[in-house]
Amino acid sequence: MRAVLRNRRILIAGGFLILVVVLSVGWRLFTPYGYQDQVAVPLSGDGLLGGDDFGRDVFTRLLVGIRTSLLVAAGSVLLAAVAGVTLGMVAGYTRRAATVIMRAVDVLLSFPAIILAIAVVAVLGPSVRNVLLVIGVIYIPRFARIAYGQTLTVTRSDYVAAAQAMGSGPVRTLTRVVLPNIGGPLLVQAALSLSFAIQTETGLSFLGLGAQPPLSSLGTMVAAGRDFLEVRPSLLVVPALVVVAIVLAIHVLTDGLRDALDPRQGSPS
Amino acid sequence: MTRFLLRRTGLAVFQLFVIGTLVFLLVRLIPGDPARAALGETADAEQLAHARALMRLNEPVAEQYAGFWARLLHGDLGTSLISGRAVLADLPIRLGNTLELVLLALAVALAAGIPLGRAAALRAGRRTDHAVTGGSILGLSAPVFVIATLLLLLFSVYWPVLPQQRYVTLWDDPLAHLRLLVLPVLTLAIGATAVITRMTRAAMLETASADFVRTARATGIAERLVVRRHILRNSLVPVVNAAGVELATLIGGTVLVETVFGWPGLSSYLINAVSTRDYPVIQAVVLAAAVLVIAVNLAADVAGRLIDPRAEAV
Amino acid sequence: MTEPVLSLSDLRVDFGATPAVRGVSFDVRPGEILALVGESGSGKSVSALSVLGLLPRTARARGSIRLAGDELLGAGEARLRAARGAEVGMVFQEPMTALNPVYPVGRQIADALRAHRPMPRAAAYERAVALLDQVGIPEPGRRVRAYPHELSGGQRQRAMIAMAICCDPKVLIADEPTTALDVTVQAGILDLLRELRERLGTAIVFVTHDMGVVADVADRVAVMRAGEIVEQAPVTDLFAAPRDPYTRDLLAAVPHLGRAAEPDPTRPPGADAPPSVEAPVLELRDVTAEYPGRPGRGRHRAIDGVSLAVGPGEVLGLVGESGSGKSTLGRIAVGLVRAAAGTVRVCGHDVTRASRRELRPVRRRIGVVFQDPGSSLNPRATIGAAIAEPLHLAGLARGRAARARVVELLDAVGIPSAWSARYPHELSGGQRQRVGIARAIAVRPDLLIADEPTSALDVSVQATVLDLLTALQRELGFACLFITHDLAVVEMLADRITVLRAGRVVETGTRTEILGSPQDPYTRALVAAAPVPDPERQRHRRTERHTLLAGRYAG
Repeated sequence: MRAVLRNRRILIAGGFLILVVVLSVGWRLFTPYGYQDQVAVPLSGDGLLGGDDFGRDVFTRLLVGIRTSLLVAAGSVLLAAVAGVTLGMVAGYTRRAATVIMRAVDVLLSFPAIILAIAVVAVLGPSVRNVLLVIGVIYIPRFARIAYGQTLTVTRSDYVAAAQAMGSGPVRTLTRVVLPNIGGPLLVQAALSLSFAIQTETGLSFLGLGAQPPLSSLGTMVAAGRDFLEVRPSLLVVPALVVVAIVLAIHVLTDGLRDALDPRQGSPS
Repeated sequence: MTRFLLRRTGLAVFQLFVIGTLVFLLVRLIPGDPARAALGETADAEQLAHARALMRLNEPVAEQYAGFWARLLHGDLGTSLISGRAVLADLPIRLGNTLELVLLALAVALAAGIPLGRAAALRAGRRTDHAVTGGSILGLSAPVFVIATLLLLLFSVYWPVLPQQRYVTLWDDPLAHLRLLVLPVLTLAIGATAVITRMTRAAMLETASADFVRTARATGIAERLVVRRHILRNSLVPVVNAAGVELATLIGGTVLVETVFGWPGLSSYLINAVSTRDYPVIQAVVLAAAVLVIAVNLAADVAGRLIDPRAEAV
Repeated sequence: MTEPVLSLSDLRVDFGATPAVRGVSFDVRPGEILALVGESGSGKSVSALSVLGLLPRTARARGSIRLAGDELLGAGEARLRAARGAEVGMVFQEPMTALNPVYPVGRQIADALRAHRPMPRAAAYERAVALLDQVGIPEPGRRVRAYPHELSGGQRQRAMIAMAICCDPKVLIADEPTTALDVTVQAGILDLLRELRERLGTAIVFVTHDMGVVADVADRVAVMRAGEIVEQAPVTDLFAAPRDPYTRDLLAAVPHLGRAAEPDPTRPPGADAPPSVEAPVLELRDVTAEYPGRPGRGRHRAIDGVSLAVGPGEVLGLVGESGSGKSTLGRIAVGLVRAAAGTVRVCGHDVTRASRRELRPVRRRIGVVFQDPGSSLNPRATIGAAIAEPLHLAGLARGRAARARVVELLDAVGIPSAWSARYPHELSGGQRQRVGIARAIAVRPDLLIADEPTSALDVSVQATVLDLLTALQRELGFACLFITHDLAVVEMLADRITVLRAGRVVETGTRTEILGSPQDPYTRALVAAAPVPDPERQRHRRTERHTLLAGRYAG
C-alpha cells in the first residue's frame, strides 16, 4: 500500500484524474449555465471556451460531456468486474466445465468490442444506458479470463492447500484466501478496461450511437466539431485533447500501479 | 503437431458455432417488429410482409435456426432489406477494402514496433527508452477517432498535402488510391505500433534476465548473437500473440476510420446498415468479422507453436 | 608445486550499497576440485559468477581474478568473451531454465563450439554427438536433436556439462549443479565430474551448500559466510578437525546418515522394536490415486496399491525421490486428493469417500506442515491470523481464547508473541516454517503430516527446525508421517521407514533395518547414493556403490 502512495506516476496521474472527476461530477458548481442554455452567440469566443453551433457554452458542455463518458465507462467496468471476477474465480476453483466455458468465452474476448457494441445498440436502440450495458457485458470475458488464470495459479499454492486441509470450504477459501491474493492484476485490468471503455464510449457517441442530443459526450462534441473545422477548430480540438489527456492519465496510472504492485522491484521504467 | 492442429481447428469451428448462434439470436432481440423498424412508418402491409418473408420471421424458431446454418453453408448471406441485393454481392468487396487497411496497418506496426521495442529494451532506463516509452504511451492513449480527425485537420485543412477526395479503387487510379491510403493506414498504424512496441520491449526485458541468456553468454557467444538468437527469438511468441489481438483491435478501429475518411469498407457497410436498420446486413457483417478474427487467432496460435515447440497445447 | 590456473585475490563485490563479497581469495590448481561451501547469502555464487563477468549490471567488483596469470577483472569485453567457454566453462544450477527451450540441445552445444572454433555446422553437430556420448547420455545421435524439455533432469545437466567442456577449458565452474536433482542422479553427475577431472585435467570450482557432496567430490574446501572465507583446508583436514567455530557448527548441524549404526542414547529403550500397529492413527490399504491426464495424455497413476500404517505416537518416515508419489500420499491422508481405490482410515474413521462435512471432525485431528514456508502461509494474512485459522475452522476457539492460544503456540515454537501482527514476508524462512508448525499443532492433532518441512531451508536452520519437531513430538505425543527424500534427515526422526518408488511401496521396516541392512536393490541404491559428510567413509561408500551398480548390470 505504501509503495502505491509513494510512486510519483501514480500521484500525478491519480491527482489529475481526481481533479477531472471532481470537476465533472460537480459541474454545476463550476459553471452558471445548464448544458442546454443558449447563452452565447453561436461560434463566438464569448465565455471560457466560446459557444458551439447552437450558442451553448462549450465549457459547460465539456464538463457534462466528461461526466457522461466517465459515468458510462466506470459503470460498465464495475458491471464487468463484478460479474467477470465471480465467474472467473468460480471457474478456476471448481474446474469442472471450466475449460470449455473459458474457451467459448475466448471468442468474445478477441472480438472487436466496438463492432459487437454497434450491432447490439442497433438492435436495442442508441442510448447512454444501452451503451453502458453493452460495454459492460462485452468486457465480462476479459475479467473472467484474468480472474480464472490467477485463481488457477493461486489455488496451486501451498497456502490454499493448507486452508483446504484445515477444512476451509469453497466460499471461505475464495473470499478470504484467493481474492486478496489476485487483487493486484485485477486492479490493473480494471484500470486498463476503464481506458478502453472511455475510448469505446466516445467512439460510439462519435458515431451517433451513444449519448443522444441534447446530452453531450466527449464523442458527440468531437463529431459535431468536425463540421466547423475551418471556422472554429477548437470545437473539435478541445474535447479531443481532453479525451487523450484522460486516457493518458489512466494509462500512466496503470503502469505505475503495475510497478508498485509487482513484487519484483527495481525493473527499469 | 498434427494433433495440435486438429484440436485447434476444432476449437475454431466451435467458436464459429457459438458466434453464429449469438448472431442469430441478435435479430430475435429486436423489440417490436423488425420489418416495421427497418422500413419505417410509411411502409404498407405488402412491403412489410415481403420484408418479413425475406427475414423468414414467419417460420418456427427451430426451422429458422436450421435454415440459418443451411444457408450459410451454401454461401447465402441473406438479402439486404434496403437495396434488395444479395449481401454476398457486396460484402466481399467491402471486406477486401477493410482488409487492405488493416493488413497494411499491421505490417507498418510490426516493421516499426519491433525495432523500436528492441531498441528501448536494450537501452532500458536511458533516454532512448524514455522517448520510446513516452511516445508509445501517447500513441496508445489517443482514441482512433481523435487521431483520425486530428490528422485530417492537419493534412487536409491546415497543410493540404492530402486533400479529401472521393474514393477510387486501385485499378481505376492507382496513384490516387495510394494517396488515399496514407491517412487511414497511418491513423490505424499509430495505435498498433504503440502496442507492438510496448509488447516487444516488455517481452525482451523479461527474457533478458532469463537463465538461459546467462548460459549463452557464458559460452562466449558474441553479444549481438545472444540478443538475436536468444533474447529476441524467445520474445517473439508474446509479440505474435499481441499482433493477433491487435488485428482484432484494428478491425474495430476501422469502424471509426472508415467513417472519418469515407472509406467503403466492411465497417462503413455496417454503420449504414445500422442507420437503416438493415438487419440481414448487420448479421452478415458481424459474422464476417467473427470469421476473420477466429482465423487470425488460429494463425497466431499456429505461428506461436512453430516458434516455440514447447508452447502449451491449446 | 604447480602454478594455480585460477587465482582470486581480495575479491570484493557490491550491489549498490550492499556488499555481497568482502575480500575473498583462493587458488585452484590444474586437476584439483575446490569446493566453495556456504549457506544462502554467503556470497559463494556471486564469487563464482564474477570470474567470467556474468554478474548483473548493478554489481560492482574490485580486486583481482587471474586466469593463468592474465587479469580478468576489469578486462574488456573481447578478453572476457575469449575466456568464456574456451578457458573457463560454467555449469549452472537449474538445467531446465539454464537451457533455451526453443532450440535442440545439439544446436546449443554446436553454437557454443562455433563461438570459439569456426567450423561448418555439420562438423559442429558431429562434435556435439561425441560430447553427449562422453558425458554419458545414451543414444547421443538421437538425443542431439532433442529439446531440453524432452530430456530428464539428469540428462539436461549432462548436456549442460557437455556444453561447458566443449572447447576443453582449463577450469570448470559449477554453481550448485546437482542441487535440483535426485540423490541417485546426483551421484551419477558427481561421478562424471570426477571422471572429467581425471581424463582432461580440468580444475573444478564446485559451489554448493551440501556438506555430503563436498565430502564426496572435493580435494580442498573453502567455507564462506557473509561474503568472507572463514576457513580453507584440504577436505579430510576440514572434516576431521575444523578450526573455525562456524565450520564446526555447520558440520554439527548436518544430518549424518549412518548414525543408525550407533544407538542414540537419548532414545527411550525399546523404540527400535517394531511396534504393533494396533489402532493406527493413519491407515492406508491398497490405495490407488490418479491424476486426470491432459488432452492427448492418459491419466497418470500417482499411487498404485499402497498400504501403510502409522501407530499412535510413532514417526513413520516416507522416503522417495521425485515422482515417487510421496507428496500425493500426504495429500490423500488429509483429504485433498481422493483415492480412486482402496481405503483410507484416520483414527478409525473411514474417510475414503467422505464429504467435506464428514471430514470435519477428522480434520481436527490432523495437522499439516508444508515444504516451502514461503508459499504455505497466506501472504496477505498476519501470522497470528494464520495460526488461529485452524482453531476457527474446527470451532475450537474464538476471539480472546483464540488469541491466547496463538500466544501459547508462538512461545512453543520460539517466536516472540509480539510478532503475531507481522506478515510472512517480514520473517525469515526458518521463522516462517516455525509458524507453519505452530499452525499445524494448534488443534492438538493426533497426527502430524510433514511434507518435506526442511528441504527448502539452510542447513543450520534445518537443524533447529528438526530439533523443534522432535521436541514437540516427544512432548505432545502426536504420530507423524514424515515425508522426505533425505535419508539422513529421516534417520534422525523416524521409528519406521517406508520407501516409495513410482507410486509403489518398495520396502518397509524399522529405521535400523532399512538404513542398516536394506533388502530391495532400489533401497540399497538409494542408501548407497546418499552422500555422507565424511570423506573417508564416503570414499568407501563410493566403491561399494560402484560395485553395486556394476553387479546390477553384469548380473
